[in-house]
Amino acid sequence: MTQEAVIYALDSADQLTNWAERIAIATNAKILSSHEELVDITFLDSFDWLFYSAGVQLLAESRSGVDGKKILLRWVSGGSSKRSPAVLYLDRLPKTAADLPTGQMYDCINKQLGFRSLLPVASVHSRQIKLAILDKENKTRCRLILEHNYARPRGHNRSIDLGCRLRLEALLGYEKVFNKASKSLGKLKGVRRTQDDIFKNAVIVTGRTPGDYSSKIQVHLLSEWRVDRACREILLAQLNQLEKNIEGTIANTDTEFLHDLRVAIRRSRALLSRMKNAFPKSICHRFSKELAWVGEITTPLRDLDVFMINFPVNRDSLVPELRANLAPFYEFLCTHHKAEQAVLIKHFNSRRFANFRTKWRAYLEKPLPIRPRAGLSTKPIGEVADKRIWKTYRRLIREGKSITPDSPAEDLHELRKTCKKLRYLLEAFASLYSKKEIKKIINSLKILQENLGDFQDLYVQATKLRDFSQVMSEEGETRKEVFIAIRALIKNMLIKKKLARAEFAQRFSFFATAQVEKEFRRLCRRDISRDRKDPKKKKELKRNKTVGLTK
Amino acid sequence: MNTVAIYHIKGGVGKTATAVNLSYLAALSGQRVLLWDLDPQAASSFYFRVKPKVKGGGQKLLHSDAGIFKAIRASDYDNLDILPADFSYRKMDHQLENKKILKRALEPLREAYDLILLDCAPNITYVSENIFRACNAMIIPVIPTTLSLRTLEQLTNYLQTKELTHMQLMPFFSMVDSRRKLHQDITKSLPEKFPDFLNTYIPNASEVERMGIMRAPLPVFANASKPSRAYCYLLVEIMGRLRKDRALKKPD
Ligand SMILES: Nc1ncnc2c1ncn2[C@@H]1O[C@H](COP(=O)(O)OP(=O)(O)OP(=O)(O)O)[C@@H](O)[C@H]1O
Ligand SMILES: [Mg+2]
Repeated sequence: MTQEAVIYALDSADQLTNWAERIAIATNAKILSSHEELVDITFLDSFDWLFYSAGVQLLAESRSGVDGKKILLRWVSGGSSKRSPAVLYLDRLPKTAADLPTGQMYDCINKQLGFRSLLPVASVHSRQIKLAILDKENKTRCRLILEHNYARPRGHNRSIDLGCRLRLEALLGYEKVFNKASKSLGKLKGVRRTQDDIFKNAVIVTGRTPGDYSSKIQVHLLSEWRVDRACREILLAQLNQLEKNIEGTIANTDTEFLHDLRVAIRRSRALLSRMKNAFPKSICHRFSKELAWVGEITTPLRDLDVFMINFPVNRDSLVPELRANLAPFYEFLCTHHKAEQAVLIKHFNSRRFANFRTKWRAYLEKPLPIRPRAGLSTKPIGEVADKRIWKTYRRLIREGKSITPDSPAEDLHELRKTCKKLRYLLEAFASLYSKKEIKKIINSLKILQENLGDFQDLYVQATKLRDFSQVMSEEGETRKEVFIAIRALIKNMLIKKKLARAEFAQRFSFFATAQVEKEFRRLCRRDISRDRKDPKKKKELKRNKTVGLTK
Repeated sequence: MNTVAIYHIKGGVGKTATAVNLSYLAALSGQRVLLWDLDPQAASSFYFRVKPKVKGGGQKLLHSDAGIFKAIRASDYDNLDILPADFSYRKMDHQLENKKILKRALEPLREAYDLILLDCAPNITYVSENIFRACNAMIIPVIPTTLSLRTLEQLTNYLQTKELTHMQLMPFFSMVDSRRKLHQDITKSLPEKFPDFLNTYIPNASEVERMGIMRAPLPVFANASKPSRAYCYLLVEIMGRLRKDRALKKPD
């Protein structure tokens, strides 16, 4: 087990081989390779930097070794190495967690990644010389790796010099040797300890910066901002998120590009609909329509994605004899996925899509009107956000309470929509509130949302599945056993849907508590008992209603 | 975590050679491996060039969580650590009259390793009693001789009478000389009596003896040799059995 590593920066003026000799003398180490070894290091991460955010680096080193190219996958975390997975030798760069053999590396990567795939976010070309401090038995007691690193930007053939470094690695049980070596190195001229790591620099030369994308809303609002300004900021961030995900959706490296793109659309639509009066009617109308259109054109592909993601789970929910009969269904999904992908790319390349993006951006980036006509525009966002969240919360409770075991599915569907709207409002305006309070509230909302989501998704999926099997039969599938398996799947979904429905009352009762109400009231600076009694406030409420503050 | 003993009542059957090569190969395959050299003769420690010394001796190891971590040494290979032998292990028998001490001593290592291999000394003692209770599988190298059947039977009978049935037993043929008629016959007939026998066998080969000169696992210096490849297959077979055992035990 490698314990810890210390990095030293070296004056690059000198050659690596000269450094090797000097360091060997200073630390009493042996030079293991007389020539420089070439190592290509690829840093892997997801598009949204899941590893970087977790303080982990995932390195794939490929060496031009004796027995052909071999890739060594290394998990480097700031924490204790006791929990880090072992290094892994692979034939190829992994693209998803599924490319890894079962074991701890798989578990760790899979846990971090979810549905995302691994992307090479930076690559470093390294010339290395290895040294080791040995004992009388020729056992290694400390490792020293001298490296001269070059970053290689994508699409360029000129490398950027990242300088020379020395990595001193402590080995378990031989810490004394390591300490002695690090002392000796401290006295050596041209050597200094550094915290810099090559990762950041190697990423920057590719034109990105670590952490530059996250699907969370990262807009920082001030409560005294005008409503229109705040909303534009949020909408602009959503447009940026949409655009950042286009390339990935087209390349189809993983399903989360399209997912995040659609989240940006839904958030924008929710905000426009809940904040209608912050914008001129014409703008609201026009862009709501365009946003709805983008939602529409992406739906068929997303539906197929969902089925493909859930396929293993769905298949395994069947009795073993039926499972193999679903293979034609998976093929069907793949074929249609390809076709829908092509359709979507066409849409993305269309005039309408390009127009929507430029016009929407132009509007959002335009200077704010000094005297806007839309009623809400110049109000301070803090106040309005309080009201909006409070109202939406009240509405959610009202709708939820009216649901009985006999309520039709549509009512639950409506409730889910309200739930989502509340969630988007909370997320969009999160920067106006205390992080802790918002997080707590979102967490209690999640419990309800999950249940409603399950119910609705299973309902929609079962319907979709029926449609699919219809299309399959139209496309010439005749095997009875295939349809039997699909019907069994539908049945399972409907059973699960029923379970979710049965669970609703309980889930709702977890949410509709006095405690949660208190939390909302505190968040929105509301005192509802006063609101109701105070005639002045009541009047104001009514007035707001007439100008359309509430629905 | 799997804890696997490489054990036989008989000496000189290839236990240490197996322990050294399997631990190296398992580490190469991406498992975090600890090899504990429990034999005071310290052959495994010798092959890995680790000084056969434990500060405070076996006593310290067995009775303090920190003690066991302090004694572990990194090997020269990725993912592989060694818990070296110590001269004091000779007296371990007196320290292990309670049969579960070893099992408890290994407990704190659970987080840090995927596989712990125990290179055991021959004979049945208190130490081996402790080993039986600490591990979930036992790899038994068997040289195909007429006597080997008898000793294997002795071992399995002993485990039966002691009700030590939680272990997966994995006997395999070691040092097989396929030119000898007797070896051929026994490698054929014995597995009929012991259906648990692994399919892979390790041939008798001079490369294995060279491990003592090179002081390194076989794949490090003779990657393409027959016995080196045989050890690879052996590891794959063993890991397959361990996984299967896991899968069967999971429901309860
Ligand atoms: N497959 C093989 N072919 C040839 N020689 C082998 C083979 N396996 C082991 N040997 C040699 O046989 C001798 C005994 O092997 P090893 O030390 O592995 O056995 P052991 O069971 O650990 O012995 P002990 O009981 O003394 O610990 C060693 O000299 C070793 O080099
Ligand atoms: Mg031995």
